[in-house]
Order: sequence, then C-alpha cells, then structure tokens
Amino acid sequence: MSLPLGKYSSFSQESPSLKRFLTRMHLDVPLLLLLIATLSAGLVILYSASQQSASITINQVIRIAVGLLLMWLIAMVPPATLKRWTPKIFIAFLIPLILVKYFGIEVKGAARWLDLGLFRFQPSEVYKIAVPMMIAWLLAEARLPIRISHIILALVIIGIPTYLVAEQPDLGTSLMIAISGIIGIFLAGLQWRLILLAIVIIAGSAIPIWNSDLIKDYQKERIKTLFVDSEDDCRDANYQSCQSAIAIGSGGVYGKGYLNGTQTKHGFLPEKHTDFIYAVVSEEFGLVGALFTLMLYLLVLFRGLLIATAAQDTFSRLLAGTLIFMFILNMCINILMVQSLLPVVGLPLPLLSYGGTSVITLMAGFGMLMSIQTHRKLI
Amino acid sequence: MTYNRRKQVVDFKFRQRMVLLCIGVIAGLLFWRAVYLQVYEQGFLESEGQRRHFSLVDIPGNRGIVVDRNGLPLAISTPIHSVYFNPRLVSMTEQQLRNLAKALKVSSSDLKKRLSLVTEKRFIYLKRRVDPKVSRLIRKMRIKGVRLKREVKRYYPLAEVSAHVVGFTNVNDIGQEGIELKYNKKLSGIKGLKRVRRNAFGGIVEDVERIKASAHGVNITLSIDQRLQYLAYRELKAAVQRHRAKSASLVMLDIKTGEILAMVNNPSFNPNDRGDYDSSYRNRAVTDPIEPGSTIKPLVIAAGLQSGLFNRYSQLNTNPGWVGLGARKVYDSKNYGILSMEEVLVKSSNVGASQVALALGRKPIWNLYQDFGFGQRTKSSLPGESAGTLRHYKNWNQVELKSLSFGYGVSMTALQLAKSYAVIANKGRDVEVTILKRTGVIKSKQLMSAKVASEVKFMLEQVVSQRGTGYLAAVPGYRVAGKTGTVRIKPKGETDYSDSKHIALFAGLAPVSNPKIAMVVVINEPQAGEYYGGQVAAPVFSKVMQGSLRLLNVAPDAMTISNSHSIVSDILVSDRR
Repeated sequence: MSLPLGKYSSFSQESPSLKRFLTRMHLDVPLLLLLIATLSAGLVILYSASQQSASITINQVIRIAVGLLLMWLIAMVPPATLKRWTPKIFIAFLIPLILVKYFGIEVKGAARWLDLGLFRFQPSEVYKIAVPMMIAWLLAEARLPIRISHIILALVIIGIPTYLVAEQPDLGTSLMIAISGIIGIFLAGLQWRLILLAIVIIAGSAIPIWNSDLIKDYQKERIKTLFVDSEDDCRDANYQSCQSAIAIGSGGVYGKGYLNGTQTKHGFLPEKHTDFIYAVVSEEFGLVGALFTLMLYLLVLFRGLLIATAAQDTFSRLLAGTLIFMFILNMCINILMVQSLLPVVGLPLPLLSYGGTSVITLMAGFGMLMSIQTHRKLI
Repeated sequence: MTYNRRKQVVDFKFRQRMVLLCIGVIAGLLFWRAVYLQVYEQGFLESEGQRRHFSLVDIPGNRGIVVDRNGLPLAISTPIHSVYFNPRLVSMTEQQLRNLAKALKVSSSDLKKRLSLVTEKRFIYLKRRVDPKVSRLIRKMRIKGVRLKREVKRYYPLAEVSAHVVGFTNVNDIGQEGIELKYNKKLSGIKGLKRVRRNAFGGIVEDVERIKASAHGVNITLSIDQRLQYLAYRELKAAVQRHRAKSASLVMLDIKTGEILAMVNNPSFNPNDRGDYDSSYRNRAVTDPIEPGSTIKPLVIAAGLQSGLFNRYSQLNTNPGWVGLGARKVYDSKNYGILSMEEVLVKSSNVGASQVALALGRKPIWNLYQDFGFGQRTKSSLPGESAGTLRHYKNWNQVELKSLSFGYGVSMTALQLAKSYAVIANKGRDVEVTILKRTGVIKSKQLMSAKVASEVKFMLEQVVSQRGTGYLAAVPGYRVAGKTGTVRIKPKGETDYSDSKHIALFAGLAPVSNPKIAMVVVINEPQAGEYYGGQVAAPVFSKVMQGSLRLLNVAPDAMTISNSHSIVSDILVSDRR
C-alpha cells in the first residue's frame, strides 16, 4: 500500500513501554486511539443531540465501556480460534434470529429486539459480523478460481440471515448483511465473468423485487421521495430528509455553535441522537466539524486496511477487509441518508449514534481486527 | 501452494483497492454533498429553516370593557385557549389520540376522522375556547401539529340581568347583540403582530420581534346602574313567575338626563353560556311595540289642557258610560256621569278621554303624539329598536280618533312610553334618552307648557291614591304619580282583540315634588287570574321604585305616616282600565 499509514503506526512511539504493554494486551494502539477519539467526539455530540440529557449520555458511556471490554476480550482470542468458532457462532445465533420474529418486542411495526431482562438484544446485529466470518471461513481454503459449489454455499450462508432479518422487517440491516457477504466473496477472488453476470442478474431483477411484497409500501415511499422535487414542504415521507437537509445546510461552514443548533434544540430534527446525529454535527459545527468527523473515519479505514493487508492468513485477511469496508460503507450510507441522497433506511452512524447493540457489534468487529493485528508471527 | 498464496495476496490487494475505489467514489459524493449543502445551499436552507422556526402571531388587542354608570363591569374579556391543528404536520400515537379525545370529550374515531381531513389548510380548529384545565393538559401532551391559540372570551358578570342591554360577542369576539353590537367598532381593539420562534411541537420558544403594536379598544360607560338593574330584574322575574306571564319588561329613566338607569326583560338568557337563539334574546323593552291603552290618557288630557279648550276644572259628561266605535261599544266600568279632568284619569274613563279627543280633533292629537316621538325611534343607541306605529292623522276616522284617545291604534315601545312620562315629569321638557352615561350639556325641547305638565302630574298622583286605580304603585315616604293600563291583545293575524290575553301596564314617576325617576312596567299575558295593570304591574313599580329611590339617595317628599297624603276616598275602584 502506498497510503501514508506509517505515520499512524508510529504516532504512539513516544511511549514505547506503554505501547509494548498494550500490544501484549493484544490492543492495536493507533486503532485504539482513533476509536477513543471518535467515541469521545460522539459523546460530546450526543449530549447536545439528546437535548442535554445526562441520562442518555451516561447510558452511552456505559455501553461504550461494555463495548471496549468486549473488544479487548475478543482481541485476545487468536484468529485461528475465531476461525474455529465461526460455524458454531453462525448456527447458534440463528435461534434468537428466528425467535425474534415471534417473541420480539415490536417497535413501530417491526420486531427486532429480544428482551433479555437486563438488556435488549438485537440478533440481526450479530450477523453483521457472523456473515463476514462465515464467508471468510468458507472461502479461506478455497482454491482459485472459486468453484461454483462454494459460491452457491456462500450465497446460502448470506441468504438465510438476510431473509430472516428482512422479514422482521429491517430492510437496512438485511441489506447491510447481504452486502457484507458479497464484499467477502468479492475479496476472496470471485471470477470477473461471474461478477459481470451477477450485475446483469441484479439489474434485471430490480423491477420484480420492487413490485413484490419484499419491500414494504412505506419503504417504497421513502425511496420515491428521492426522485421527486423535495423542496415543496416537509411532509410525510419527506419530512425527515427535509428537516435534516435544513439542519445541515443552515449550519454553514462554521456551524451555529455547540448546543445552539435550532433544528436540534427545538425538536425539528427527527431521530436526532440516533440515525440523524450527523445532521447535529453539521448544524452545530458546520462543514468544518463534518469534515473533521469524516477524517476520523478515513483514518480508521486506513488503519483497518493496513491490518487487512498485513494479515498472515486468508481467513484473517478476508475477515479484516470485509469488516473494515462494511464499517466505512455503513458510515457512508448513513451520511448519504442524512444528506438526503439515499432513502431513510434506519441505519445508525457507527461510533457516533446512540444505541447499545450498534456500539457493541462494532467493538466486537474492531476486537477481531486487533486480534488479527496483534497475533501476527514475526517472520 | 506458496505461489498460489502469493498470487492470492496480490489479488486480494488488487480487489481491496477496487473496493476502496468504490468507497472513494461514495466518499467523494458525500464530501461534495456536504459542501453543496453547507456552502452553496446554505442561504436557501437557512431561510427554509427560519420559515419553519419563525411565524407571525397576532397580538390580540383587548376588547374594551363595558361598565355601568358607577364603573362596575358589565362585560370584560378574559384570556382563554382554543385548540387547533395543522393537517400538514399533525402526527400522534394511538395513545396520544386517545388522551386528546378524552381531553376534548369526543370519541377517538370522530377525532381521527377529523384529523385525517385532507386539505390544503394549515389551520383547523379542533375546539374553540376550552377550559383552562383542558388547555393545560393538551399543552403537556406535546402532540406534533396540535397547537393552542390564545383567544379571549367575553365574560358578563351580571349574566341574565343585563344580557339584553349589553348583548354578547360571538366566538370571533365580534359583537352580535346589544351594546356589544352597536359599539363593536369602538370596543374592538386593534390586532398587533409579532414574530416568534416556535419549536417542532408548535410551542412558542421566544418572542423575536414586535412588528405592529396592538391597541386596546375603547371602554364604554353605560347609563345603567347595576344596583337598579339587579333590583328591577329580581322584581320583574318574581312578578312573571307569580302571574305566570309570558314575558315582561321594565324601563327606568332618569328624568333630568334622559339616561336609561335600568332596562330589563324576562325571560332572559345567560350570555356567558348561551344556547340557541330564541325569543328570550329579544330586548323587548325596545324591540316589541305595544298598544299603550290607558297609559296614553294623560297625554290626551295634556293636549286638552294645552289647547285651552279645557282647564283642570273642566267637567265632562260621561253619560251614558259608553262610547260607540262603529258597531261596537266601549264601556267605562260604570256610568260615572259628570267627571272632572282629574277624575277621567283616576277612574280611567274611556268616554271622558274620547270626548277630549273629539273636542280637539285629529291634528292636535296627532301633533302631540308626533312630538312625543311615537312612530319614531328614540336615540337610545340600542340595536333592534322599533319605532312603533302612528298613522298620519289624515287617515284617521272618528272611530280611530276615539280609540287613539285610550291607547288603541297606536303602538310604542316601553322605552317610548317611559320617555313620555319623563316629559310630563320634567315640566314638559323632552330630553333625548340614552343608554350611555351622559356627560356635558343636556339639550331639551319644550313639548308642552310647564303648567300643563305639572297639572297632569298632580292628576296622575291622584291615580296612585286610595281612590285611584294605581294605589298599589304607592311608595311609602314618597309621592308617586302614574297611570295603570290593561290592554287587550290583538293576536297576530286576527282582526279582533282577545278577551283572555292582556298586557298589564304601569307607567309612572317619583317623587312628585322633584321627579327623579320615570318608569314603565310591562307584564305580557299574565295567566294566573289577575291581569289588571293596577294589580299586576303596579306592585312591581312600587317595589322597584322604592328600592331605587333609596339606592339613589332621593329625599322622601311625603313625610306622613302612610301614603294617605292624597284625598281620602272610600270609592272602591273596580275599573282599572
């Protein structure tokens, strides 16, 4: 890689003993610092986005702490062990995923959560990691070119959770699961002719899928609003996008100042501390704040890519690559949604949005990246 | 294997760059969009935001209050909230819908139907003027698109007592009846305008600027005296109940100033909690003309005295005790034979009155009636006032001239009648009546000589004596003058007068030595047996007059023990017509 990654791998060299200690703890120092920086920025924004709710902010601090702990625990597990656990994890979590359909807590017509007493658990989130793991597990040992049987098996692995999640219904998450699998297959070395074929098939089936029941009416409504003139008025399906565009735009270059976002403060911005938190950043800190946030994400991306490239076995490489790409794709989709370039699909902004499951899944993923990075054998 | 692995790594790096490229494109789009929104579109989006955050709100200009002559309130405005919604923004959960329906006391399904109204409007009332308790509850619900609007509600402290005079406003604070209607323009304030910042739920977060100041309406001071009004209403209502009357009116005038001190009607209505419009809303004292009957006789006598054809010692032969009206005969109670002018009034002789009229002829009678304002509206400023009817004398025949002399064939309102008695009391001077408190110089017009006026006044005093028809109108300690009237009603659409439906009247003034108050009591269709003006209306006059004179601190002018100041007479008067 010709990317300027060396800089980031060396910025903690001022305290070599601490770095050595953290490495022994299987923590990747640059990634850890970037994560802490982003999460801290997130807490600052969250306090304003939640209309200065101390309880929401403290809740998030607790979740981040749990997430960091989980990351550290996973980071200590060697990649080989992770690989060995992969099929078991994949199959074991199918049970709650099926159960959620029947015993889940319904919120706004969708049953996504299982109530476990102490906390709520969203089984679909697990598959954001379990599918990349399973694809990496399946295709790690495959010889190139990948055989058709492997591809079919991979599609089944992707298909089952995608379908179950789509049934909840949770279109956003289900799409993200499917995309993560596809990226996995692509990275593993799918033949170019097959890729071409897949593109043709997807393009061809777009219309039948649109007309089927798979996509709910309200989802269609959201997608349609993208193609009609949306400047008319903030109504119905268009309301969220419109208010969010106003929040972002009115922030200007320098923003309205911390805790001074009128769209945020006076309740115009929907889902302001969850899915639409980027709009709060833009409104209060302007373009400058938005670009600073994007920079943090890009730094995480580069560090992740470095880890993937440096991985010593195919499983690790595929898993690290898929996870880091999914992380960044998730971020892009959320922001494009908030910028009203994509339909509102209900996807949180990684690391910044309020929400327990999201933070914990993400940290588990980063835990795997750290495990891959810190368990390398020096050749 | 090693080769394969190396190739795999090279391929992975290549593919990783492919994905990175895709993400780069997406990130580029994202970056461009951020710059586009926050730099190029900033102005537009900021103004869009402000369009939603700021709105112009009326500052209500308070409606002026209506007070009585002593400054006590008759109509005041109190702030209250109305609930409305914006169909473009409204959204609520099922639970909120149920709570809202409960607060507004409507069914959830009705409310749902109303809220889902498809319209281009942005403002639809859900309920006007809710209780402060309800508006507080709704404010707490913070339902998107459901908002409260501050309005004012008119409050009438005297309720039924002054309902007809003061009138009322509609939900839009516009006068509909009475003073509220007549002086709506003066009372209405001027609406101001301010810019406010709203939150997403419609609540006002801050006042940004005042665009136009509001102005309060002018206060109106009425000539009404709240105390007299109360008293009159109470006594009138009691009489209506006692005599099972259909309706009743009372008008009290200040003789010197022409001010209406009290004006009440029964049945009345509560302007604070109105039902449907019905006849109880009519201010009968000015809207319903009545035939005055015998109460007109003092004017005929006055005309006779004024003409010089008669003086107070003139004798009239009322033999044979009846007068012919075409095919019909109108009788006195009995054949009184020779009567003096005073006795014509005291006995209420129809024959005597008609003889005076016949002697004078049509024109002098008409001139007098015209001068007294019959057939013309007074300048009382009360809306819906009737002029009454007075036909031109050229159309009168002998029958009509005779019947006009005892109060048939001419009609007038209770107010017009009261005004006539005020003229007699005021030494023949006519002062325009008014419902507003009078300030400045009082203009008056001499309608008859002071001598004639006082002669008639003293004759009327005899009516209220023991030998007169109006002795029940007497007030202890004061000298009272007045005339009874019992009028047969000609029901609408019928040609003949009814035998069973009457109006009981009493018109009078007090105290005789220095008159202060003129008053008319009209009791419509008493059904409980008694129906003579002297039995039904005179006692109301007495009670209200007594209380009023005391409340107004008028010095008593009859310091005798009883009201036997008038000529003692044991003549039992059976005719009270």
